[in-house]
Order: sequence, then C-alpha cells, then structure tokens
Amino acid sequence: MTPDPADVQALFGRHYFYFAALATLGALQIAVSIGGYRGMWLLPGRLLTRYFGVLLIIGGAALFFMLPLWIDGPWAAGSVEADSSTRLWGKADWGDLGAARNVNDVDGGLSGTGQATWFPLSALIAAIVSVGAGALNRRLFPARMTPEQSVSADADGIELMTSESYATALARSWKRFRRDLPSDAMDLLRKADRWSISVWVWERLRR
Amino acid sequence: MNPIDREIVLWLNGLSGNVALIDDLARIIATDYVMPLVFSLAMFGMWFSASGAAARAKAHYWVLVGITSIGMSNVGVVLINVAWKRDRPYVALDEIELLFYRATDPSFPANPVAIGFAAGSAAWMVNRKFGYWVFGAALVYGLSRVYAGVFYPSDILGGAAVGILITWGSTYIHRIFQPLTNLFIRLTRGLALG
Repeated sequence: MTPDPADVQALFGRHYFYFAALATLGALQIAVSIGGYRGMWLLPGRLLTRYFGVLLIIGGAALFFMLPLWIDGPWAAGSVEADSSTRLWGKADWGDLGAARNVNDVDGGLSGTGQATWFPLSALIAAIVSVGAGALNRRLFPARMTPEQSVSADADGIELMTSESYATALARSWKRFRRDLPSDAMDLLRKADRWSISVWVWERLRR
Repeated sequence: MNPIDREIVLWLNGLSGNVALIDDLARIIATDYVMPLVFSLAMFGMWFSASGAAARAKAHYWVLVGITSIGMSNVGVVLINVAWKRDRPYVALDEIELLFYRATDPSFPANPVAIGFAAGSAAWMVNRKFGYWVFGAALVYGLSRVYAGVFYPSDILGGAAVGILITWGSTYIHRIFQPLTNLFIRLTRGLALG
C-alpha cells in the first residue's frame, strides 16, 4: 500500500516530538548542570544530572531512528529507496534504518515549519519537567541540593535557582522586575541607537 | 559547472556504496531531523548554561540573534533561489549514486548549512570553543549531503557565507528594535527563566 502523505506527516510529527522532547530535556539538564541551577536538576548531583542529560539525548535519537523497526510507516522492508515517493507502508528491517527517516516533506516528511512548531512545545515541557523535578529534589535531598556558596543578594532570574526552587525564584524575580521596569526601560531607551524604531516611536509619543 | 565542484562531488559520492555502515551514518547525519535539532539545542543550551549577570545577558542576546538569523537564513536562501536555480548534482551528473531523497528545491546555497553556520556564529560570539563545535557540526552536515549526492561543495561554502553574513545582519535588526530585545531578556529574567 502506498502511504498517504497526511498519514506519514502525522506519524513523523509524533515521532519527532518524542525525539525533540527527550533531546531538549537532555540539553536542558546539561546546560543547567553547567550553570549550576539546582532548581532545575532532574537528579541530585551536578555530574549525575549532566550524564543523564547526555543519556536522554542519545536515547531520544535512538528511539527516533529505531521506531521504524516496531511501528508501521513509510519504510516497509524492501521498499526503502532514496526516492521517498515509492515507499510502502510497513515495518523496517535493521538494514533500512539509516534511510527510513529520509522522507521528502512533499511525501509526508516533517518540514522545517513543522519542526519549528514541535521544538518550542518540547522546550516548554522540558522546562516544566525540570522545575518540577528540581523542587522535588530540594525536598528529598536538601543536603545535596545546597550550593557551596550562597547566591549574592542582588541575584535575580534563573540565577536564584542556584539555591532556590522555581516558585521562590519566580516570586522574587517578578517582584523585582515590576519594581525596576520603568527605570530599566528608560535606561535601555537612552542606550539604544538613535536610529532605533523604538526610540523614534517613543520620542513621537512624548511630544 | 565548476570543474572543482564536479571533481569533489564525484570523488566524495564515489566513496559511497563500499561500506554500508558509513553510508547509513551519512544518511542519518544528512537527515532533516538530527542536525537542525542539534543547532536548536545549541541555542537552547546556551540560554540556560551561562552564569553571572553579564555572561547571561550576553548569552541571551546572542541566542535571540541566533534564532533570528536561523529564520532569516531561510529567507535569504529562498531569495537567492529566486535569482539562481542551480540543479542538484544528481540531476546534472549521471554518475551520482543518490543516498537521499530527491529534493525539489535548488542546490545553491545549502539551506541546512546556512542554518548551522547562523547558529554557529551566534554560539561563537558567546564561547569560541562551543562555536567551533557548532561550525564543525554544520560542516559535517554539509559534507554528508555532498557524500549523499544532493549538494556541491560550493553549495556548502555558499550556505556558510549566507549563515555568517545573515547573523551579522541580524545584529542590526535587533539594534533597529532596541530596547525591545533587552526588555524581552529582562522579562524572561522576571519569569526566572533568564
């Protein structure tokens, strides 16, 4: 049976989302372990978090490329050629795995726009899972989640998550953001180039 | 056709078909899904890995420039494609053993390489070593597609130039709209995500 591009696209979208979700979570864990933001660590330890991040990325890629072995799609064994318009629906063989995912977007592969839709969703989910796990780790392993040095008093934003949970960091950062916004905005306007559209609009509004 | 381009693509593509494992590896690297995700993850990771107020502000600014330049690189490639439609190597050369699907868009410049070099340029501005890794990934991505028979080497060079130039141009786009970029960064800081 020749695959319907709409079915192929739905399948690719779903599989790409699994891949992107695991990979963004992994990349986030590597990044926050480098930054030292304990409020987002999945595991109670810097190196543990970093290696788990690497594992998540590898796992996501392995899952994406090996799913054709178990899930029916446009990669039926024997039909996987470079030309993606002649594929048949079915499960792939081990020998087909390298080429199974090379499907043109006109034949149902995921376009750049499709990927640009799934990626932010994956990033959002990765951030939510990380702050949730970070808060849980702080409760379960308070000793391992406390930094060697305390955060400076003027710290804000993600830096507060070096020693705080996301909820505490959000409350403090948002309060400070609202307090400083008018002065920050004026300061940034003064520093902007004279040919900035924002400066131009601001000067017209002030008249 | 440039004879150097012809020779290199025929030589590199001629290596295919000998070791199945290398062909499969090239197909996986050349796919539309791995490297674009790697470039996106590079930007995503850069956002969250910087520590210290000044380093964070710099990283966040360049991540936003990088995201803009990735989007603008696509526009740049489409505009060049309007002016010049270069046939893919597998169309122009009978000797090519195609390892990838038959792309319908023109060959020059290599869009995926432009995206990779746009991300790499932004990464390079924050951390030279990390930037070189991203440039390296973009180059390997491009070479895997030459090996697969869908790009000429000059498409890779063109894509790299487009990516770097558009990143430089994107800094002006952000300056045109300043202080909106920095206000957005302050907002993410207020949401404890920046």
